[in-house]
Amino acid sequence: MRLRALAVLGTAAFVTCITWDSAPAITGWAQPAYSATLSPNIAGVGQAGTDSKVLTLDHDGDSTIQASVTQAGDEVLTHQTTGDTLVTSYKLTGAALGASSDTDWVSSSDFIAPARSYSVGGVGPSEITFHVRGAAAPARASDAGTYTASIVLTVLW
Amino acid sequence: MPTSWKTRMAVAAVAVGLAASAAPAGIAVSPLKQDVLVKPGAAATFHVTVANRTRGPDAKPCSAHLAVVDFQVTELGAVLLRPPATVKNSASQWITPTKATVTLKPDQAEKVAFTVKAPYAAVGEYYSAVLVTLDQKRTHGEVEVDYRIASGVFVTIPGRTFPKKAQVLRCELAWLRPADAPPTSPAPETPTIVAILKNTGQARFDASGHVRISNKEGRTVFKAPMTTRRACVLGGDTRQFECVLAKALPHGQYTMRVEFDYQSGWTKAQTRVPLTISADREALLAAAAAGTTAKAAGPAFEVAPKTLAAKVPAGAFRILKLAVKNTGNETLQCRASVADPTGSHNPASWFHLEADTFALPKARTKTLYLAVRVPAEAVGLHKTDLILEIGEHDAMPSRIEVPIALTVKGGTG
Repeated sequence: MRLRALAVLGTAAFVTCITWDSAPAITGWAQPAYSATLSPNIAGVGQAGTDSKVLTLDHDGDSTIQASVTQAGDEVLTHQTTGDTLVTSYKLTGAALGASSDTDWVSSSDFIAPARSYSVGGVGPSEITFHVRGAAAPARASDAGTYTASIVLTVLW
Repeated sequence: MPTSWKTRMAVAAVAVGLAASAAPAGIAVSPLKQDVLVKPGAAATFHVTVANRTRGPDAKPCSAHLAVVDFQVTELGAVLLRPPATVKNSASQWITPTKATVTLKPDQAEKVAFTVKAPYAAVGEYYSAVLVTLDQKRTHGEVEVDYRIASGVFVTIPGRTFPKKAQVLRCELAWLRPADAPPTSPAPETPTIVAILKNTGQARFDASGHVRISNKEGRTVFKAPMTTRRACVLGGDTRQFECVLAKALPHGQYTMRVEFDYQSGWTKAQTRVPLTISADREALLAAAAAGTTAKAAGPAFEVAPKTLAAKVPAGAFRILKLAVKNTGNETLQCRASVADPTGSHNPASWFHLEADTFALPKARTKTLYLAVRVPAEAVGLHKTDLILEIGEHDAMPSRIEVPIALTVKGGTG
């Protein structure tokens, strides 16, 4: 009886604090933060500038990338003082994304839509190219100045 | 064009950047997902390790913010991060981190402990995520990209057995536009079998399934696996599975049957629905199947893994393996080589391919062995590509590049 009680206690102690890893061991963005500039500078109606950067993702197994924003509207290139906006598009490409790789520009709202996610298969490091495009409005003058936007790229299981 | 407008735009010369600060920083998190078992009324500890990936003379410390959040998974399999304690089956209110911010020197890692205190009357499965956000110095006038990594925490509080239960809610043949088709393109609709699987129990499971279409005589005319973005279905969730019907079927009456394995051990979730192919649909199916066939024309093969990565001590010897499978009906002629990039170190010269030219009969798999001997002085990350040229006899070969990344560390191992 005493042995049985001890066994139960032992099992209870064991069960109390079991944790185990069941997925990729290490996942991380391998490069430092970066800076780039859309080119060419936008100087006319309907003109667009683009830029892209290769991001390296280390991963020991399948993972998913989703884009989001901290505050509503952050995804749109917006004039710092006047609030004027550029038509903003993004895309993520790369062999590691397989069928989820974008084949065309994605509107900023679609890019951060919860339904959109990118599958990164296998074992990394994987090179994923982040593209951004800003275009002046097609039928009016855009305000002169600097436009800013902000995107959050989240890797998850 | 009005002059004022011209002036305005000339001055505009909008400088927009895709940017963040130039300070080196890079984070890694381990694990990406973990299970935690904690007895009712007890506490358990789990850990998430955060590492600063940067090295070298210019490497700088970085800091990251840790937060416990809820998550939901949509029917399509996307994960939605939510504020803590806002989602049913949230474990967030019971999880306390030992610290909310970590500051790490270059090449340093820290194991952060989290305590889960389970209530007495909360037997079941609960979920949270630890969200690790890299803190960056904001610079104005730029577009910023923030990095985050979410580590899933699946908490089980044992007490009674929750059987795995599932039900197929819906199964139909839908005509969908390809998900990656630009909105303006006249991309044809693709005949797609769509099934919705519901987890009707409280225990999560990983599901996999297939569809089978049989004709009036009961003969199977189409069979294929159903795919989904996320196989894990949480209790109460639904998940969409899809399969492109890449086969021309004559008009008539069919029976479509989908079957899902949901780790029950006892039974499978299945449903059977009648399928009518009209004369119009017959033509569309034939066109779609022809398109699929055209797309699939050329050598049919699979290569795994898609990338080759290894951590090798300087001066060490390693063998990397790559499998090439012939999935078609013709014998394939294959040629493998390692790309020859320029640079102070040329990783191509470190490789020796056991067999660089070979024939691959149908349904056979060839494993390529790449012997790599790394020079003692080659510390750092080195990249090149394994190039595969694969084709049927007398046909133009397809060229596949498999990225190779070697992280060479100091010392011989």
